[in-house]
Amino acid sequence: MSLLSGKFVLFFLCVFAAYFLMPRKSRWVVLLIGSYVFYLFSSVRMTAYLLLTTFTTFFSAKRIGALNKETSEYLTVHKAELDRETKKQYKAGQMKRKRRYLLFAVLWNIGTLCVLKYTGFVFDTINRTLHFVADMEAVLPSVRFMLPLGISFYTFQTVGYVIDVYRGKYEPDTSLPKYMLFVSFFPQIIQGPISRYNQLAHQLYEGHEFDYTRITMGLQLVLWGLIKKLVLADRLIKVSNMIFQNYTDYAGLTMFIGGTVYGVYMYADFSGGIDMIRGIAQVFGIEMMQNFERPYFATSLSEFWRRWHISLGEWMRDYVFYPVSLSKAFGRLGKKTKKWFGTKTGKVIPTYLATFITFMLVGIWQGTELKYVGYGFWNASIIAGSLLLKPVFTKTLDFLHIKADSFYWKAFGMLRTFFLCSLGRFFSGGLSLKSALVMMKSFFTVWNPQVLTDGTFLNMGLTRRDWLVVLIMLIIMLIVGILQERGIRIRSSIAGMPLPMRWFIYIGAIVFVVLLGQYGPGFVSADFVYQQF
Amino acid sequence: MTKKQGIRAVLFVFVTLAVLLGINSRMGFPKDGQAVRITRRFEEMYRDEKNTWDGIIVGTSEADRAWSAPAAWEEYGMAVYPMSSDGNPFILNSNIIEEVLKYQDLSFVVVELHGARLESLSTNDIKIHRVTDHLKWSANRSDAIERAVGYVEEWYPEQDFPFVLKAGLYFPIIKYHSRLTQGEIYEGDLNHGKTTMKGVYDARQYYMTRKLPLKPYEETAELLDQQKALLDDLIFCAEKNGLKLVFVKNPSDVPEAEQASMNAMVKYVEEKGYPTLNFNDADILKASGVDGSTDFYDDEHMNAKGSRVYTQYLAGYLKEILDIEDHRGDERYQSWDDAAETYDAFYEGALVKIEKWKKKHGV
Amino acid sequence: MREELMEILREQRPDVDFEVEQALIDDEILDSFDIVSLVSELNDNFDIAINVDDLLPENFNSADAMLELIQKLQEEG
Repeated sequence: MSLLSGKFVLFFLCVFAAYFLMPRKSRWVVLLIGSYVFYLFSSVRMTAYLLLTTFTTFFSAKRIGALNKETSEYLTVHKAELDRETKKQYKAGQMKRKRRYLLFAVLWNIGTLCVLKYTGFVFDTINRTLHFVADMEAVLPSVRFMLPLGISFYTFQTVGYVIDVYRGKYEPDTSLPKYMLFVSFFPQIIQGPISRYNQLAHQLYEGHEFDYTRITMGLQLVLWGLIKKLVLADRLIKVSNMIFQNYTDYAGLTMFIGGTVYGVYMYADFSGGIDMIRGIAQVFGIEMMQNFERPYFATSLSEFWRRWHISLGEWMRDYVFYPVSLSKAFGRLGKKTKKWFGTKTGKVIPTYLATFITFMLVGIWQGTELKYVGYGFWNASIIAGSLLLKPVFTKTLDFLHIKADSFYWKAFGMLRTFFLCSLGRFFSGGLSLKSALVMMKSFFTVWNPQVLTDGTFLNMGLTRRDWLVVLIMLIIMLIVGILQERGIRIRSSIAGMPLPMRWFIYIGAIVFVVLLGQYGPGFVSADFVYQQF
Repeated sequence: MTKKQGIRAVLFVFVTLAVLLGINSRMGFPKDGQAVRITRRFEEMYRDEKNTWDGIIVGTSEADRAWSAPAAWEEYGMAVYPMSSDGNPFILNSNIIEEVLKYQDLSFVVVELHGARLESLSTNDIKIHRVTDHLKWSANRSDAIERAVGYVEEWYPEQDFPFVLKAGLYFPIIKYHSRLTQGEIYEGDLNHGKTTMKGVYDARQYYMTRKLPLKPYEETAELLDQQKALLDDLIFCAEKNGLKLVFVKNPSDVPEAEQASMNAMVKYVEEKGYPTLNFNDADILKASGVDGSTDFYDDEHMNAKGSRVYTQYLAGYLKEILDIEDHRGDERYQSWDDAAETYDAFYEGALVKIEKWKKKHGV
Repeated sequence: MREELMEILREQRPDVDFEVEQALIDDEILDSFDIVSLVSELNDNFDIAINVDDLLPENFNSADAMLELIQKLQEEG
């Protein structure tokens, strides 16, 4: 059931009515049933995976929580009689027991994700290697597993939960049905955001009141997401598809614009979907975390990634980057690198390595092809490189008397980031690693500004009027972005306007999407890109 | 939620729907120079003096290119209006008749048979749009859409007719909003204009002429089940409403298989006892005075000159077999007198233009 | 000990006033790279082992919070 289908609208209305008709205490049950109905609609068989993940993480966390409690109780009771060494030993023993459950939950779930996602790729690679090295026929079958809806979102979310319980951040959940809702909540299972248990769960379990203003605010957000998706994203995808799929027909600047268009398309599509999800959740009184914070206002690539798919970035930081960089192995590595490269450089090398690993993982998460490895490499090397060169930059700026927080320097930073992002999209949007490299080479070797005026871009499925719509959308989004950067809450401001003005804006927006959205016969709306991840 | 908020929410939904339906009504199929003329004919049907029409002609473009209603009015004082459209799906004739009956107490319907010839049997959503987009919202409109889609599904099961196309028939904006950026916007979309000659076709083609080897044709093919079903459907509708039916096969130079097929339809309805006027018949063709060398602009469509000759002959035939009152002088028919006046001037001009065209192209 | 900590912090981020800031993490003044290199500095200088489990915002939001963490870890040895 797609977010954009009539079926979903009907489903939403049913859940909506049922939710607010229920007594407040049992409203969460409506969401639970709704979420499972939604999931069963996508696939009955795949629901088994969802249930397995739910059970394994729930019971592991429960055991870990019990061990946590046991440990602290034991320590309080026997505080006086234990010396430091026995205490330490006891703790280590408990830790070991806890770790067993953690490892089980993490390996089982990440393992399932990897098997489903990467078996095909691994088998193909083995076959290809054997064919290349020993000229053998394919030994392993070519398999492609169907991916359960939202598998990486719910896997990451539940694994994060178990780790947090393990780290003692909060107590484990005690109610399995409630926890089932936390794992399967229907709007977010589609494409995130990857929520944190302590941020989301209690909101799901509480029964929220029917708050008229809040509901209209939620619907506003849904409408805004719909506009981004149908008016902008589904137009731009035509252009980027045209360029990326026929990359040998284009050159130079066209490549760059292809990368830019693909980047903006990804933003409009993904953040549009997230807005719809957050809007729907808000209707039920649930505030989900932001997943995007106007990434195109970032002044560096690392800041860009802190503003883009925030929930994944934070997940990677807390559960990959920190553990890796603070691990014993990395500690030892740091000592060695300090010896080899001197204190100053040697000290930071493990951090770069951890950064590298994290970004490679983010790259591979998006897909199994080599181009995603290239994408990870591109981002990782620029970010690690800029960290490495940071002292040089600072000195240069000082020397040139440029203030790092001046408007022009910031604007320059934004342009530079925009430029790097657009080039990076050659990897994620391209057909293959090879095509990405061809595009990259063409961009740096061919200078052809005439493509802007010779009608090249009118032969990509968009008419002059389509481009005008794109331009209008970009201007609207820019204005919205600037206002939000200044801390203005646009939806509240609209809701606070006098009625005629407010209705004019609402109805205008609805008419806008009805007239200019890409839908109807002859147009099949593309699935959201991050669906099926 | 307070009561005030509830009322406000409901009101909002209504206002939004009203705005969307308003836009929907302006976003139908592209009203280019050809199509806008269909719009004008249908709009006049809703606007014209109630219960003044004697009959209508249904069919495809062949029907309205041929029938110049004012010519029949001038000759016999009969009010017979063309309710056909380009590529009109034959299945929809019943719905058109039902729609007209809401406004006009017709006594007869003339059916032009090119609309059920082999080539016209298959249909698509655009042809359906050209009819249903013109019908006001009513049970009849929904019925028209359902029947047309049902017809496609029954006879062309291999033709994909997805839900979204059907939804587009109910709400044309679903299909045609993309015209705003992807297609053309025509003058006719913004301003439909009006027909001033009771639906006389007055587009550029009307002034052209070409020589047509018009000849009688006697062979009869076997009637297809599909054609039989369409004719039966129409007959059922007419019987139900107590309407007389007259079947006409216009003069044309279409392929022999088509001629034979239309002869079969004529034979079928004759056997059922309906009056027919088949221009494939040598005597009728001769008596009508329609001249293949001067009266057509292509294989099957008559020009201004041919249309007048044809109309006068067909009107004479209708007068002869049906009991049609002469309304001339009745003040309720003032608009028909006005149309006739405009038509006369138009016809004179058309003859001059045809001559010019002939000279220019050496016909 | 406090002086030593302030020294490390200042060297790490000369642009931040660690005497005043009370929400270093919550306001995203320190990013993840800062945290990681800060932790390795603290580990080396105070002979402690800050664990990934200790990376909670409340332990790093201010200089005092960090001091508390260091003392706690030193105590536990």
